Amino acid sequence: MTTALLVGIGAVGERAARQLVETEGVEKLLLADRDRKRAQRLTSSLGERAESIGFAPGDPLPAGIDVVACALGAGVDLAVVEGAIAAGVPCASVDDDHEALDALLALRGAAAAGVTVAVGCGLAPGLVDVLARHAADGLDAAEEIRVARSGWAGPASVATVRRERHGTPSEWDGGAWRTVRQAGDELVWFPDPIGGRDCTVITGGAALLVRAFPDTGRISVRRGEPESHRPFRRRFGDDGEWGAARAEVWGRRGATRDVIVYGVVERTAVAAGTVLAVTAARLAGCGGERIDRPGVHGLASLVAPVPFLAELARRGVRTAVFEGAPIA
Amino acid sequence: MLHLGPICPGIACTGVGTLPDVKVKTFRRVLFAVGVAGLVGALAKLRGKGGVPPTSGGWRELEAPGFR
Repeated sequence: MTTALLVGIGAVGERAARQLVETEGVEKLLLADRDRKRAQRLTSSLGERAESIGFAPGDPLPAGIDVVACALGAGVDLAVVEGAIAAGVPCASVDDDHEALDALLALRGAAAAGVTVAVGCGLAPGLVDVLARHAADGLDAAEEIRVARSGWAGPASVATVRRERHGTPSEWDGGAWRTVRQAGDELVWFPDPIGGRDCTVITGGAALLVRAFPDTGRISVRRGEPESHRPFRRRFGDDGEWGAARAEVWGRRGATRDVIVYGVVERTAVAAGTVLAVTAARLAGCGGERIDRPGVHGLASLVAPVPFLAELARRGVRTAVFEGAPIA
Repeated sequence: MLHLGPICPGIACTGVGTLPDVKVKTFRRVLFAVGVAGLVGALAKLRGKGGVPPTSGGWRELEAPGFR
């Protein structure tokens, strides 16, 4: 009997709960949120397999938990992940703030305890990392990876996007981190109907990609802007509910330089929640091959792209390839 | 008493502080402000790198079994 604990029931957590409770092999889903009434409301709509519990970040993990999924705001999940590692339970987190990711990646105890911790399990980082891995697998050698995302899932997500966009970003260039100064917006093309969006360089989940692709010379992350900054240009997707992500990988195939571009358009919270749920289920050995690689990793280092994309497609999150001739 | 400025162009008038002058001055200021704002906006926009537009082709959904 597999019991999953989901901590945080915001926009992403709610979708993850709905996905987890329908996952074959997950017999019990425990829901915890600082708003206990919200957890109870969701529990009543999910049926008998769901149960709300009183649990807060920093509390010792209840007994009998097989996997923990965190859908918490930036940095709040650290205490939960530490608790999971202490209890020897695998854990997945959706946190996409680069400082929070750095703190999670610095948790050395996971590898020593034999616990697998999957971080950045949302749309980007998350699904876009899997797409980058899938694209890199199609090339002989990946030389440059550019990932981008538009869209945000809820207030915590918007806060993270704004913080990231207003910070001084870094990108991986020539085997070292380089600070990007005065980076203007850049038009990035996502699958329809999102289309072109102004994005700027952020640090984001670049560290996860650098760990997954240590031989790749250049890795950069771009992100679009939340709605309130452009009141005069209202287009589909500007409210952030519908998000998009794109992974563009340049490299060598034989003697020629080639590029593979994969993308996805989905409701941001739905995509992030589904990725979190599928990852957590796989960590528990449900719904497919068990993910077991002790330590803290991003999805590009953890999952086999094809079965993962197949499972997402089965749950309604569909991906696309760009067929054309983008200019570098 | 409000002086509305010269009625016919041939009559000399100091015109300082008259209602049409105030309107023209305000109009010029607005025009100047809009021009400066446009210039600043254009410069800010030009700082962007222009992006990577797709020159041809389009997006196709990935399908099992290979998702390629």
